[in-house]
Amino acid sequence: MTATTTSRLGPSILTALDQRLATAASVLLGADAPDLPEGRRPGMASSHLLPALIALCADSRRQDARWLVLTATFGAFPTTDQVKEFGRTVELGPSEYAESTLLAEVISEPGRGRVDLPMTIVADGVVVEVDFCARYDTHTGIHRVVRETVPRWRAEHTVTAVAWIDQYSAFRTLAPREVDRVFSYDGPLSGETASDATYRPRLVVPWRSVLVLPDVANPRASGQLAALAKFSGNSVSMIGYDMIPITSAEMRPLADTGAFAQYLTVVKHAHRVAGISRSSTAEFAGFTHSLKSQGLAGPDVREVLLAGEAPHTLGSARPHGDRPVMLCLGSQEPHKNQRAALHAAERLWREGLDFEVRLVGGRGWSDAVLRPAIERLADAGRSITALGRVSDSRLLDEMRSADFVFFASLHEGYGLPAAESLACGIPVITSNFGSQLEIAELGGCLVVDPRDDDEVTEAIRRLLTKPEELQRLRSEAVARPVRTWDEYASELWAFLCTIGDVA
Amino acid sequence: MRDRFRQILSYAPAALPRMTRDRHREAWARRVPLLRATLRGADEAQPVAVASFHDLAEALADVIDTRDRSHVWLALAVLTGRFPDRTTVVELARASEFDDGESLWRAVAELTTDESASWPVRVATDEVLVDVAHTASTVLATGIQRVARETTRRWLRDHDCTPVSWSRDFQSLRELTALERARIAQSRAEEDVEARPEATVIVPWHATYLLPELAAETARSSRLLALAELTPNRTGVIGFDCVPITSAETTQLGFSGVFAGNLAAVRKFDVVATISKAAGAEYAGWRSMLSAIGVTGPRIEPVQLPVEVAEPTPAEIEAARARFLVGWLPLVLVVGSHEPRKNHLAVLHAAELLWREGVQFSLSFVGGNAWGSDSFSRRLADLQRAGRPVDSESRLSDGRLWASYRLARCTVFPSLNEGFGLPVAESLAVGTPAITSNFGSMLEIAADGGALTVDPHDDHSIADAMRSLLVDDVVHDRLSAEALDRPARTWDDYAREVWDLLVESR
Repeated sequence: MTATTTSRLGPSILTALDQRLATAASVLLGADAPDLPEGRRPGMASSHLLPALIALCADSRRQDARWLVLTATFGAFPTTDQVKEFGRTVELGPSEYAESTLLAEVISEPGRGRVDLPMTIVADGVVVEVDFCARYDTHTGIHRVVRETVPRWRAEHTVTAVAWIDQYSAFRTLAPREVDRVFSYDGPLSGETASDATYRPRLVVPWRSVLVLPDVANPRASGQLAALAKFSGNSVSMIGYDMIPITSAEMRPLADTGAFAQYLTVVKHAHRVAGISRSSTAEFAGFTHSLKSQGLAGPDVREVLLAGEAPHTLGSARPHGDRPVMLCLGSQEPHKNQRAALHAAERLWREGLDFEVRLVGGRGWSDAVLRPAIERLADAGRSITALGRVSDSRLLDEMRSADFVFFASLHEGYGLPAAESLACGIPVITSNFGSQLEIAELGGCLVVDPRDDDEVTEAIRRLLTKPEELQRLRSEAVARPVRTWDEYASELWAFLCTIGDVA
Repeated sequence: MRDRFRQILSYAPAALPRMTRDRHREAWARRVPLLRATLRGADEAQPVAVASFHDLAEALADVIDTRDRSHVWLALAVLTGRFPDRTTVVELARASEFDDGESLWRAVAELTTDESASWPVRVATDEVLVDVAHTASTVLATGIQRVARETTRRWLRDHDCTPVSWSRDFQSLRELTALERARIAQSRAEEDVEARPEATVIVPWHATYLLPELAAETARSSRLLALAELTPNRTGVIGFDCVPITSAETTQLGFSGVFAGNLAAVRKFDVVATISKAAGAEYAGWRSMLSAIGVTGPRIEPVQLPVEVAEPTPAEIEAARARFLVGWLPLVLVVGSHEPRKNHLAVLHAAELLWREGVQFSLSFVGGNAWGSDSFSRRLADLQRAGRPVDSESRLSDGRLWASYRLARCTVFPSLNEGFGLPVAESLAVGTPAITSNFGSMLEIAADGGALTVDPHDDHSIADAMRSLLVDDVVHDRLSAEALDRPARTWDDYAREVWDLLVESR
């Protein structure tokens, strides 16, 4: 390292670089690390450590060392191309050339990571990426899974929760408010707490550890995550939710599929995927099957069925009128298939049946077909109410005051609204395949082909006209075994987080 | 979309100028007998008068069931000359239930355009249609277009079938123009940019629709989805690979999305003929995903692509010799574009490792730059500056390419994912040993002899195989003999097997 290079990096950056390289050297070189001279001039440690670290990387079998040295140097996880290019440079050039190339890139690409931050290595541990739940208050399906699961893990095991730095190229520690958002979520947070002001992030680097991705990873980080799974020696575990953008691409916006395909580049190098249902397990296993054509084994995919507890929120049933109520649950977008329910309802209203349809669920990416149908029926004086997105307690009120729920989706990873309705003792009309069928098999449901308007109509007619059928399903629903979050979290831990059999 | 349905349901024909209405009514009057004949037999083809779209109900009530989705699809396709998407059909069938079909007839009026009213329309029943829209529109020959062209040409020669394309913006299937036919038949004809107002729209009904090329355009996919799912047509497609989904990191951003749109349509096809077992395994993996949505998916059978050797002329051999040979150095040839999936950076590194060892050879790439090929170009320039005998040729005539295969000591094709791996098969077909990846379609090709397989993720594994073929004459001669001994497979074989699978098998 020349004097020119060091002067261009600045003392605080050099001090951070010294710290990161020393941390990397502690796991890579151990006792073989070169002795550092007395005196603490910024950059001195780096100039002593880097040659020894790079010498280790000359061995083409030490992809893990290449990965860690790049991570420590740039304050960013490398991509596959970066690991490969560095490896080729080290194999061909003299060590000084590799050093100066690296440091030149640190100067020329300051945006790649956080060269100013110190780093901590988590060795032989469990690191859990909770970026989205840490940053945002959003609390829908996936975020609920994260917030119900990760805190339970932390209560019983040692886990390190991390978020991404803003460049989405390295992990960092959580800010205090982010810890609250993940571990003691209780609705949206406001204002900055005093402890946030003193928060100084540190980079967190897993080493011979298990990295768990309980959320769908941000596609911006795909390149870094894929390389981490391939080269770093860490084991990558994921929860697999669904592959709607691939399997049902026509029902999602085009951009979703592009982002999802990027996410799949991580999945294919991951080691374990816990599918939340029969459906999602079939999807991830099918994808894995297709990988053998590119010489990859793909992850070990197993089903760990999601929990289906009734929501804890207190609520009371809405006063019920004389008319029976069918509640349609789900965001307003094509694959939720409320349109089929409305068509069936229109048939039955025209036959003379008297009942009310209520729809709960926010606006999804396209309500181009559903919205006009709702408006037309409302204009025609039918008893139909679209409530849009509602609070959790309001949702519970609506569920409890409905006679039955319609949730016959064209594609679900799980079907949480169906499971929760059943947990409240409310019968559900749901689809006759995949995870919805899996939920229905424990009782309380009528299953239909959601693409067949006649079947949908018949099921609704039965529940409106045959009180004994409704009563039978209600008793079945009440008798269903409840799968708890405790059970889910503990089974998930056993499959995803066990250390020792890293592939 | 939302507005579109509002329009459909509240359409007022009086809003259109008189001349336009006349033209549309004339088109419907011509097409109503066609529709009747399709559903009732040829004798019904009596002309009718259509004064407004209300008369359509009168003229067709006894043959069209407006609640039947296939009938709605057929009525829209024939009367408007434009194929509907799935949502349009399903919503109109639903609406027609409550207004005795009025929604459908209104939609016919709404969806007929001046352009589509001018098209002649014909219904193809019990016919085989071959969709070569892309292949017929270009004189270029990528791998996919070559397969589509070679296959379709033989089908046209050996069977009764009709090649088809799409009207502008994929509104409907139509007959080919003479120029487009020539492109399929002779694979060369001048480019044309003419509109094709004369081309007849073809509506398949109880017909067989074959797709021997990749149809990834969004509008085309959505219409094919409706055709495959809602109509009584038989559908078959050649499946090349699922790389945009299984290897998105090697694919241009955005292509994964349109490719998934293609898969959404193929979901409802009857049969997929994949070009290799490896491509078959990709499609089979995808099909097993469909259990999540209660869909069985198509039957998937591999029909491996052939390779036919073309004999280069002496002049072509001389030209290739002058272009590629460097003195007495043995030539290592790499064929394929420089996109990341082809792994050409690994070849450059393996070559440099060998040059440093003192192994003597020249290295030539044949293939164009592509998405993500910048780092390849940079590294190539570095090595050239360092004086290494390495270069790249972006375009080469078929004759010169075949000559180059013959001149090479060996070829290298360590791709990370391929539906087939044509350069491996071509190299082996002329007796030149090939180095390729130890999995997937490349391993399938290697299994018949003449190739060394490597781990393409390991540069040293590639270098080891190159060294072996460059310095060990025994290995080279053995593989060369094995290559020449490989079973021959022709385009005739391939075209016949795919036809049998897609058309004849049930």
